[in-house]
Amino acid sequence: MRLSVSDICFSYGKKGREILHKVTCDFPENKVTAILGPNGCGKTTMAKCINKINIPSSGDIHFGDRSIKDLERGEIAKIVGYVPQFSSAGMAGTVMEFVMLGRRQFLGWGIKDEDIQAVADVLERLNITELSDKNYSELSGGQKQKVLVARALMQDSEIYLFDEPTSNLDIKNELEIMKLARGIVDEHQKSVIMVVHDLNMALHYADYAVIMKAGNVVEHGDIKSVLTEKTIDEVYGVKTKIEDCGFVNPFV
Amino acid sequence: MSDSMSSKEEAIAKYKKLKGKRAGLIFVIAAGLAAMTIIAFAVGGSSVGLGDIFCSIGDFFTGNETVSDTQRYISLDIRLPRVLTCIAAGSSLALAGLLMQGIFQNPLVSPYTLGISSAASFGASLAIIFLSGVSSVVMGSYMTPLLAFGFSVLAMLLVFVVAKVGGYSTKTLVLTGVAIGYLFSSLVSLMKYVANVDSLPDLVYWTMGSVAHTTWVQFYIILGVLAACIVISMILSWDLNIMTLGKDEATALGVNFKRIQTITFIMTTILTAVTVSFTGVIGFVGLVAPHVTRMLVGNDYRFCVPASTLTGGLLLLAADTISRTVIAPSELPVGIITSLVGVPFYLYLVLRRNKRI
Repeated sequence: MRLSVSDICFSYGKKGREILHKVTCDFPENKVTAILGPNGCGKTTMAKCINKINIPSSGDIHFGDRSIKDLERGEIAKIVGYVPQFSSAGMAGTVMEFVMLGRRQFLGWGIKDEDIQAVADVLERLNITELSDKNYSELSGGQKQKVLVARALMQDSEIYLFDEPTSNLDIKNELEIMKLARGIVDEHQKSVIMVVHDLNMALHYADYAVIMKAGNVVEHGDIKSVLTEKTIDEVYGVKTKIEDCGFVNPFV
Repeated sequence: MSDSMSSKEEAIAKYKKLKGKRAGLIFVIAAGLAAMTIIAFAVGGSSVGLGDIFCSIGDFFTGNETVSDTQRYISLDIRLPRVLTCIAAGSSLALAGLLMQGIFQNPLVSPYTLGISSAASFGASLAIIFLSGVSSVVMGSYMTPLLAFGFSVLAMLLVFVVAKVGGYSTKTLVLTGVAIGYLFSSLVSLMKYVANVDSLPDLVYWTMGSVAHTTWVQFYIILGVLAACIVISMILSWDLNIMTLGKDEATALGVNFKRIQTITFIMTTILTAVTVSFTGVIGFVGLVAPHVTRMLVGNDYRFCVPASTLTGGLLLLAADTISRTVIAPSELPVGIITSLVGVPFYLYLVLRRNKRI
């Protein structure tokens, strides 16, 4: 499903500083799109506008032909699956119960066998079946992140929104999460939008990039075309060199 | 592949077993409450025993006179409404506590965190000190609960309005509630200061909490509110489960956070206000019962709601039975017993706060 953002503005509170200023960009379907930019440029704020956690003061967001303004929260949850940076966990219970919450829009009051089967299938797909009866709050950072991905997959959405999913992870877990995100696109023909800081990870795993600076989109397009030394200098104020090291993708 | 399949099926089996265990535990709590109810019927300051209670109930339906008028009066108009009100009040406070802990994502929150008990105490103190003469003429014994209820609702409206101005976050709600609570607390102190020697003991006794003078009407009112709130909570149980994750995640999973928070806030206010108005401030049941419940049946509201209401009823009934038998024929206010048991438990919870339940 194609997602387009048109002229959205957002600020926290009526008199708060404007975080997003007339942001316009497209997110292509069946691609991994990386939202890039320095801290405080509005990446997460925009991501939260996409699933209506934040409501823009002006502008519009369209999923295909449908405006976000016409969609109930339950409908948006069926379109956009959300993987936060971390979960407050609440009073989460076991991993099985925690992941089941992602299926809220499909659940009746009682849990049917097919619901349990669906959760078990996703846990198996992510190789975390052995965690099913563990308490979520007792898991390691990498395990928690995989469980969050599993919960988002239960939403069975068209678009998956990852908000800095690897910022607290070691390199092994970081790679695993990025591969999971890539797999959602390659194996299941869905779209992934990912707020990330690691430019090399973005170059390696993303197809498309939306590059932001100070509440605006500076560039958007094919990642290898838009993530250039010039753009990095302009956005981050850092001189870099992008080299082809003989791998599939270049490195910053 | 076969290992993987067996592992998956094992996970499914474990989950189903867990659900069955929880349902079984609810049954055990219900059985415990039934047993405690029979004990509570059987004991008391007077010589009326369990047999007299059942005979009185039988007389009520058949019109026979197998027990004396005094025994029937004690059975049907004192002990029965007291025991049943005790169960309903304990259940109400427990449900209110469970709902509050969920929406505030904090297991140390109780129904009184937002200052409702102080506001109710202030309302009651006004009635006890200034309207004690008027009340018997105008509204009988209902002036104190009416004012207590009125000020509870007023305080919660104040909390709600101020929190809304401040952005309506969970943190603002709690901070506003604590501030309003302190405000009414100081007003209660002022009332105690101006109270005369006749009304001061009544006021102090009211703030200790007691179910000694409950009536059938009070029981029916508490029961009606409780039943409605149980039904609504059960219907909303999935949303309530998700609400414990906080606003962002709940919204992302399709829950209208503000709507559910408002409904829950209204339910906890009415549950607590109605109960406190009739029983005074009974501490710790609303904190302890949801905790015991979570330890036993987990955090799924489909199990927590029935388990917590049953546990709340059981705890308050046990405390009340102790309070009216330990120094019989006199009795202690039940709030003293619940606090004596509740404080050590509360400290235990605080100490293991870093390990989420």
